[in-house]
Amino acid sequence: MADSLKDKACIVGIGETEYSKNSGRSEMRLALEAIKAACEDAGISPKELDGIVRFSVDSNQVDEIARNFGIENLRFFPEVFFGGGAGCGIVQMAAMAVALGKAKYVACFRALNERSGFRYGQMASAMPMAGHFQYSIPFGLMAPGSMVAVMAIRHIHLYGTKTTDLGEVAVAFRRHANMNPKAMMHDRPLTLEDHANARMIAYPLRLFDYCQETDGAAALIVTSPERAKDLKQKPVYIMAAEQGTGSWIEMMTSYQRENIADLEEYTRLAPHLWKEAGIGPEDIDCAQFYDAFTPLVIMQLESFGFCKFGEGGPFVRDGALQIDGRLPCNTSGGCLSEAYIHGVNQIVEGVRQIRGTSPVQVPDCKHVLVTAGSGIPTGALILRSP
Amino acid sequence: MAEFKIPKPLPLPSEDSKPYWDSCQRQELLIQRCDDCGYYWLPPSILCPRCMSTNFQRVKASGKAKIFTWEVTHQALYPAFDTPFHVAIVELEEGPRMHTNIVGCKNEDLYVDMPVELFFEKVEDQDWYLPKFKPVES
Ligand SMILES: [Zn+2]
Repeated sequence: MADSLKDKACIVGIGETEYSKNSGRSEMRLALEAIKAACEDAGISPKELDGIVRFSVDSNQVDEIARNFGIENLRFFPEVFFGGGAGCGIVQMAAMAVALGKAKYVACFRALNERSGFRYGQMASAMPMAGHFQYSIPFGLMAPGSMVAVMAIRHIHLYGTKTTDLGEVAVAFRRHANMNPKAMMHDRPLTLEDHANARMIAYPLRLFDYCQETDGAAALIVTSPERAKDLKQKPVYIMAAEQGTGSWIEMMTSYQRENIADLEEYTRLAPHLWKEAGIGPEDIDCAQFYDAFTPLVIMQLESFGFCKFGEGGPFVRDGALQIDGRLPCNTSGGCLSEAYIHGVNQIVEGVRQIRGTSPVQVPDCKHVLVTAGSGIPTGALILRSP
Repeated sequence: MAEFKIPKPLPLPSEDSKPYWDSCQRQELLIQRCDDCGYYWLPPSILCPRCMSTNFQRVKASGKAKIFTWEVTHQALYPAFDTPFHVAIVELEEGPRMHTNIVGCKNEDLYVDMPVELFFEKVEDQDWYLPKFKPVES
C-alpha cells in the first residue's frame, strides 16, 4: 500500500477561458472550453477522460459534462466542498485516484460567471438564515470581506500589522498582473498611495484589498508519471497534496477558536504538506497564495512557516512578494488582480511556473506552493519540476 | 407613499437552535454549560464540544463581555443595513463569543477589549429581539 502521495501523479494539461466581467455564455460552456483546452494542452482527447472532479459549489454537473464530450466510461467523479477551499482538494482527489489506478486521466475544473451571475459579495441575500449564519447575518456580518476584516483587526491588535502591509500585497500582485496579458487588471497600475487612498469597504479593508469578481473557467488534467511520458508537455509532479480544517469550523466565521489572527486550517495542514514533500519553506521558489483578501496572504506566510507568527507584516515590506523579491508570490496577479476562479487559475499559474512558461517567470523555478481558500476548510499543493 | 425598506434578515431557528432564540425573545441570553466537564459554549449545539456529553444546562449568561474584534462595513451589497455600520464579536465573561452590535458607541470609538454589557433590542418593524451590547458606564 502506498504510504505517500509524493510524485505519484502529475499535472499534464492546463486550460483556461478568457477572464472577464461578462463572459456572455453559460457556465457549462465555460467549463467545456477550459477542460477541452486542458486536454489539447496535454495531447489527449476529452473522450479519454475517465475522471472528473468538481467543486460542490460549481453549477456544472459531471454527467452533463461527460455527455457533452461523449465520454462513455467515467470511473471517478467526486466533488469537494467549501467554495474556494476546494481549489487544491480537487487536485488531491485526482492524484489519489491516479495513484491507486482508479482513473487514468482526471480533469479538475472550476467554471463560474461570478460577476455577471451570482456575486459572492451578495451571499447574504441568498443564504438561508440557518446553520451558523443565523448567528452572524442578523447583526450585519454578511460579506466575505467583512468576515476577513474582523480577523485583520485581530492581527493588527496582536502584532501591530499596518494597513500599508496590506498595500504591499496588493501592489505586488498588481505589478504581476500588469505583466500578464490575461489578467483582468493588466493595464491598471497600482501604487501604495492608490491603495491607501481607495474607498473603504469594510474597515480596515479598502477597495484594493479585495479580489476580482470574474466570469471564466480553468481546468487541469492529472495523470500518472508513466502516462505522462507519452504526452505533449513536461509533467509537473505533485509532490504533496493536503486538505485540512481547523477547530470550531464555520464557513468564513470560525471565531470561537482561540486565535483568529492565525489561519488555523493552514497551520494544521502545513506540517503534513512539508513532510510529504520532504522539503520546507526555504525550498519554495514561488508561492501562489489564495488571496481573496490581502490579510490572508500575510497570515498564510506565517502559517506555512515563511516567517514567525506576527511577522507576516514586516515580511511583505519593500516588495518582498514581487517577482524580484525574496519570495515571488501570485505571479499571475492572483485572485486580487488576475481573476477569481476560486484559485484554480492559481494552480494553472503554478504549473506554468514549473514549465517555465509564465509571463512573469521566476528564474529556474523548481518548487511551487499553491494554496486553496482561506478561513474555510482548505487545501494546498506543492508542485515540482521533473 | 411610504419608503420601502428592505427588512433586516432574521434567524430561521432549527429544532436545535430554537431554545436559544426563544430565550432571546424573553430577553434572556442562555448559554450551554456541560454538566460533566463544566465547559460553557455557543453557538447552541447538541453535544458538549469538549467532552461530547449530552448532559448540559442552558444557563443565563451574566451579560458581562468585552469586544474581541470588530469591523465597520462602509459599502454593503445587501441594502438592509444603513452604512456605515459595524459588527462586533464579543467574548462573554463565561468564555463563548458571539456576533453582535454595540449600541450607543460610535464606530470610531470601538476597540479590542472594550468592556460591554448585554441588553436586548427589538428589530425595527419586526417582532423579534436580538442580543446587543452597550459600553459599560464607567
Ligand atoms: Zn463537557
